[in-house]
Amino acid sequence: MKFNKTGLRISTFVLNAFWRSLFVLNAFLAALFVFQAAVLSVVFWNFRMSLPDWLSDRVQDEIEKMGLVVGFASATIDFKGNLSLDSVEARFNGTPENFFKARRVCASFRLAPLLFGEVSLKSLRVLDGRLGPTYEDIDKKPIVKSLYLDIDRRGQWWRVNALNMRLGKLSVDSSGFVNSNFDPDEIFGVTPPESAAVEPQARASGKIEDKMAFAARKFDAVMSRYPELKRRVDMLKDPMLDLSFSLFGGGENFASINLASGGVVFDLGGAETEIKNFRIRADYDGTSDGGKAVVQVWAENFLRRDFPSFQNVDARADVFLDGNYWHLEDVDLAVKSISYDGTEIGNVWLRKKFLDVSNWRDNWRVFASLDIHRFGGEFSVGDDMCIDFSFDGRIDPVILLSRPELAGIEELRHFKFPDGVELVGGGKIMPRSGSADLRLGVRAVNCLIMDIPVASASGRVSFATSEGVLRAENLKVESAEGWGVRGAYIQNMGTAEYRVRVEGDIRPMAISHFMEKWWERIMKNFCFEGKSNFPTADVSVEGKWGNPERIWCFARASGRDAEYGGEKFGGFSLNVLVSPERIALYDVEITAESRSASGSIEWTYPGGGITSFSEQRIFLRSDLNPRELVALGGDDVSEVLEIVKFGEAPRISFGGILRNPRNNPGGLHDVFNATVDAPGETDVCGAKFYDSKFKARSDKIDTQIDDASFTFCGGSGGGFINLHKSGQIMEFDGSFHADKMNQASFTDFLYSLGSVEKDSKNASSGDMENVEKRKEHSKKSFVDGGENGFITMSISLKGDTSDIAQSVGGGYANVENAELIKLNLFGAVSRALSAMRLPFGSFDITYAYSPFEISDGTVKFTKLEMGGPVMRIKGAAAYNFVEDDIDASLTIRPFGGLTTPIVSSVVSIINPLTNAVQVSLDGSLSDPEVGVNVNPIKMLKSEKSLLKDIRDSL
Amino acid sequence: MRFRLTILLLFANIALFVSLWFLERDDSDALAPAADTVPFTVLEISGKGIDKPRVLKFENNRWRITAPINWPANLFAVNRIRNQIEFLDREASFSLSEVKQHGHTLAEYGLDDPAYTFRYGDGKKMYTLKIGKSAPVGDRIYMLDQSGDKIIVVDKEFVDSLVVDTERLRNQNVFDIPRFEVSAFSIRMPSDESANSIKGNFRRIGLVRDGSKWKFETPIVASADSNEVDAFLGEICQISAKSFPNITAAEAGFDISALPTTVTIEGTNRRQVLLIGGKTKDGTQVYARLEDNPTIFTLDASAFRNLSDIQTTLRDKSLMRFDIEKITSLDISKGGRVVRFSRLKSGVWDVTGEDSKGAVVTYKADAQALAALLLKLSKMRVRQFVSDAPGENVAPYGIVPSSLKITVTQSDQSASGLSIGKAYENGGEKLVYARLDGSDAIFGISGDIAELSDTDILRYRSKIVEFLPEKATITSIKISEKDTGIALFEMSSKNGDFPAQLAKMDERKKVAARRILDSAKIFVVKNYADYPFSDKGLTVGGKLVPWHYTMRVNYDVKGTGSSVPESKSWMFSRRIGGLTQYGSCEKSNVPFLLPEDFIDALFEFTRDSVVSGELEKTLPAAPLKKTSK
Repeated sequence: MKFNKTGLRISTFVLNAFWRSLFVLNAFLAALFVFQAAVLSVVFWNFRMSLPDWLSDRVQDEIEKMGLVVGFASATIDFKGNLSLDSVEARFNGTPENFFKARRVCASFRLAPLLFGEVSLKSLRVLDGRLGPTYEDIDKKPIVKSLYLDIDRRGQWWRVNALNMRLGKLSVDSSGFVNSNFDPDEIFGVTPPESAAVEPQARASGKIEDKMAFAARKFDAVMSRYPELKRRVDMLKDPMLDLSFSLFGGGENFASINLASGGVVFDLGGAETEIKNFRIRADYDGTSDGGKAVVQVWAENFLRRDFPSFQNVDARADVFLDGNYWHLEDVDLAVKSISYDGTEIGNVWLRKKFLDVSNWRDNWRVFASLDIHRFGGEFSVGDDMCIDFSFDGRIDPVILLSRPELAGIEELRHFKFPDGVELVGGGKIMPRSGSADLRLGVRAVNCLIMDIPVASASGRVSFATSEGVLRAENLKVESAEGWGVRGAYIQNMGTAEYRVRVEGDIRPMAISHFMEKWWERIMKNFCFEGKSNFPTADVSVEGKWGNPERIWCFARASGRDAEYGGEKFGGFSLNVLVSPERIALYDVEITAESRSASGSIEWTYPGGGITSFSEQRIFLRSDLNPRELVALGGDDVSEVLEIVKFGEAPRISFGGILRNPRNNPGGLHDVFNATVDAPGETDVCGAKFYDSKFKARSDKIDTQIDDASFTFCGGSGGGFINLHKSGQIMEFDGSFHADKMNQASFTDFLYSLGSVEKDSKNASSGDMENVEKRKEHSKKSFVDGGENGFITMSISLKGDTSDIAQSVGGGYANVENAELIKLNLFGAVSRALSAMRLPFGSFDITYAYSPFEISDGTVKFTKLEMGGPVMRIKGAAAYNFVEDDIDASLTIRPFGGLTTPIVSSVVSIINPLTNAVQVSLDGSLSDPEVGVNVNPIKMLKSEKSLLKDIRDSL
Repeated sequence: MRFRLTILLLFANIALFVSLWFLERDDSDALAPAADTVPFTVLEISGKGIDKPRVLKFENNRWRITAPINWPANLFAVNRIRNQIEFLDREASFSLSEVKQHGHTLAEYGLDDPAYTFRYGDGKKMYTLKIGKSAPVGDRIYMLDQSGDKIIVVDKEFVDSLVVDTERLRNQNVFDIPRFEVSAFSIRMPSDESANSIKGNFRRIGLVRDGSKWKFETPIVASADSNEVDAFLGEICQISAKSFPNITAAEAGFDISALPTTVTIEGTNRRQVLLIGGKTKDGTQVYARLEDNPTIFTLDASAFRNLSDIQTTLRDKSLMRFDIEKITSLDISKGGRVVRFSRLKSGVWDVTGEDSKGAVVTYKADAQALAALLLKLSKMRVRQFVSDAPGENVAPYGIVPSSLKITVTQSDQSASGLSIGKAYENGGEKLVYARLDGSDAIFGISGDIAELSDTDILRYRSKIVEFLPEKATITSIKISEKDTGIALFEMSSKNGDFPAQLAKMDERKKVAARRILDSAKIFVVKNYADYPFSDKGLTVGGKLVPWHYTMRVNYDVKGTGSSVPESKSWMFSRRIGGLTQYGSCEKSNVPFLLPEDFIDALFEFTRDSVVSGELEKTLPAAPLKKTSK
């Protein structure tokens, strides 16, 4: 057993010492417990206390050593390491103004490091802070207002719970994480120009003054950006920025930015531009090698004067950053509708797969979905700023046709494209030269063009401003009813010259919109047999708008199986030639069964412009029948053919020159020539001619009908007539002859002329029955028994058609009829001779002839002679056809016709006896009074002398 | 005993230390937020000025109206209100105590029963802003800022900007998913045959994005037309609610016994389903609701008018995919006749086929006609998807071995054949049936392709029938009437330059003369006219169209020594129509139609001879004499 110096056993000594130590330990632990309990209470109940002045001074001193001058109205601390400063203001040492003010700044420090004298910020909160440049009064010109900063530290990370502020009108809400390694220069990398060389010196010197001076300049440099930022922000209406970020440093940062604004108004190209309710969202994901951002922009409206307005603009792009190089991918810009001056296009897209500085001009794609239609294209901008573009798709032209500029064009209302119009094409715009080229293919189906239902229409259009010529070629239109045309339209915009080419089948009335009114008037009567039977046209027209007097046109039209004016025509064709010198319809051909007509019409304009024609030339050759002529010729022809009725189709050759009365300085007359060959019967006012032929020429003043030949009343005839118009008077001078006319027919014709007159007179009185009786009576009294007689006569007459009675002329008439004696006329004579107790019953009168003269309404038969094999009657007669008064005196030689010697000697005894007897007729032609005068003295007169007396007496 | 105390104290200290430690480490509430920075996540608008209180909440990072309807809010409208309230200018104000001191009451300012009351905050801590009546002077309105205990005087405009009607307060779009974000969508609708049944079969049409392209997933796997899909999504994603009728789900056509038509859109990590109910009474709108939202609204019915056709409207309509530059041959066959285009190494195309007599001939191809055909083929789109049924008998569509077939072969020897069947009409449009080699699908395509492609080799023969050697110099050109020899146009020059003669002409004739000279160098025809012909003319439709004019061109060709004189001659008919005139040249084996420009040019010199002859011959004669009394 061992003992120590106290004599206690070592074990006892150690045990005692342990207990004594334990007491001390307990005391310490009890004191520590009390202390910790006190601290816990203070911490738990957050007891605060004003910062002691000495400590406040110490804090300010420490801060000043850092180069900052900080002031505050009051400061409180708590035992959790929180420091709260009220009415804080701070400035860089050496700068005139505070750069920072806040209603309150709260900071929380870690206690543990504090115990070791280290200041470790745990969290920081700034309430109602302001920031401004170091050289201006922050109360008057704050840049950042309403700053609310709430950050705390987690290891290497600073968590920014809130960094809210007001930058001008911009309200910023942001939050995120910042790594301790993050260098603010990555974002606020602004180095003041004059400090470019100062920073290394500041770092090198190690003096806090230098560092803070540099920091102040850098701070001011950042603040100096504010005016530009404010200028932009002030344009925004209610701007709000929502930012979340993670800043790792070294480029590996992430940020999500949302900027929303009620709108912005700015100047774009000299005009006020407004974007309403827009939002920009950018999600940036950076790496040490670069970064990628997905940017989306949305705006409710984009408005600019004299510029299309956009609604619901939506854009996105992937932005790739690699150092100084950036490029965009999948650039999409979508607009729900673009409207300009009343025209609206919906759903428009602009796209580009890859975009960077080098290729920003190339391969932009545009696409628009216009209701049910789609339209898209590509464009590229060349180095010379020329824009090459191509497009295809379908649009509804309503967007163009409804333009206000076109609203007044009535014709456009007759266009409808319910299925839209397909367009394929491209072109080039050269802004510097102000020129452009455009080429496109156009196609539309089931549309209405000028109210014409069209199954399909297509064509190619090209336009070059340098050339100034619009070419619409390969045009093809198929109508719903089956006809179709091809063609081209070429328009020189500079000179207004145009060229139209049309070829194909066409229903004439379908294009009446485009034609003069005469077209509809004529063409509406055309019908074509068969479903797909339409006339064909082959037309080339060129001219100049505004200069209608200079047009060049060549056209050919033809058709078949047509009905016009109720008559059927097997075919027709014509050529049309228009030039400034003439308009001609030539090679006109019309067929109807075996008949045809051909001809030409031409209007000449020697002045070299279609203004007022000089003369119209017509040529027509026809053997169409009268109905067909009437159908084609209309009322004019109908009027003629009502007077001249052809029994069969006449062969007519007609030519004419018509002078324009307003353009006829020489006073030349119109000239018409006609040659008519009318086989069969031709009825002219009841006079029936057969196999008539004549030639006529007229200048409207003089009309000359030559070489007339015809069969009339069984005899052949011919003659001519000249007519001369003088004022209201139509003079005539004609000569006709007819051989071997049937006596009865001729007298029927004569009576028909009379009957016509009487018919008309009596028809008016309604006494038709009496007319027929009188007619029959007259016939019997004059022409009974003329069936076997022949009349040959010639007549020359001239006078005034309005006063035929005063016509002057003469002629010769000869009647040959074996039964002429039976005529009642001679019956009356025989009664006279019976009174002389002369046996006349055995004498035949077989002929009668006489020259005649017409004047003063009277026909004078000056050498009337009738006779037969034995008897001869000589005398003279005069008939006043105006007053129907016949006056005749006849001498009768019963044996005047005998020439045998024995008989002659007997007759020579008797004849002087007969001289004493003269038969006279007086009164109306139909019922003359017959008188017999016996004058024995006249027996002494010679026959010649006797006849002279008779003529003189008439 | 002491030891126990020690242990107790130790543990107590440890507990206190840990407590302190945790308290010190506790970051959650290190600094209490300031009272005036309460998050703005709830906004309530009420008052006698509006019929129904409006409640808006910020949920899932979006503002949403929760009363009177449940609907996304218009960010801009809410943002404007929030900005106005948060940054309210309180400069023009006076305190409530002053008001009371002067014996006034809140009623005098309209603030006892305010027109509008705005309550905002985070739901727990709420601030109230009351809007009273107009001030007697100026266009101002009184407001009561409860927190500031002040009556504020503000412009009426300010209040107007705060009081937003529900229509403007709500988000216009039905779908939240931006169209760029859509990765898939589908339509579910009753199948046609069950349209009248309550619980009918449904068909689903689904499309998914495949890179930058879209494709059908159901009911068939096929490519979709990206443009059409984008257009469809453009409309659907921006479709807006027209009204919010107060009707029941059953009245709106959402009968629980029937599954409605749905449009489902899928974006990044989210999906929205639009249920389409019945039509409104006037038929212009349809009732609809979103799958997760009971609010019933109406939509413009026209947006869904083509929904049933979506399987065809969204389908990719391109037919033949080839690179024109890589095509080496093109065959057109029909009824045993074949026309084959072959690209030579020089890049020039030849065309081989049978002439009208059945002999195989090869010509230089008309590049323009071929280009038009290839362009047409490349741009050809399906107009109608007729049938996708595999193994179907295609004879009824007129697709038989003898029908028209176009085969395109590319440089990699890959060939694509298109068989064209009979014509038909679809909605008034003339289409033809068509089928691609190796495909069962029958399409309807425009009939234009059949018109562009036939087996008449002359159609594709080069239209250049004559051309002078490059070094040739025209010394004279003469157009004359064939029978009479009368010259209608004549020019001559030793060096091929005709300025003197041209200068004498008027402008029209000058242009025409140049056109004729150009044609003499390279004579391009409009088309070939495969009619019998001789030196007298050609027979068209049984009628002889005689040659009426001749054109003779003399030219010198520079040889090694001296120039060699040569000549060419043409014969032309009269002008038959505006665009029709026939011609033949001494070396061509087929007559042709002249191009319009040449017809016009030629007519400039022959116009006077075509009409006058007949009329001059039959010129009417005036009467020979006049009668006189």
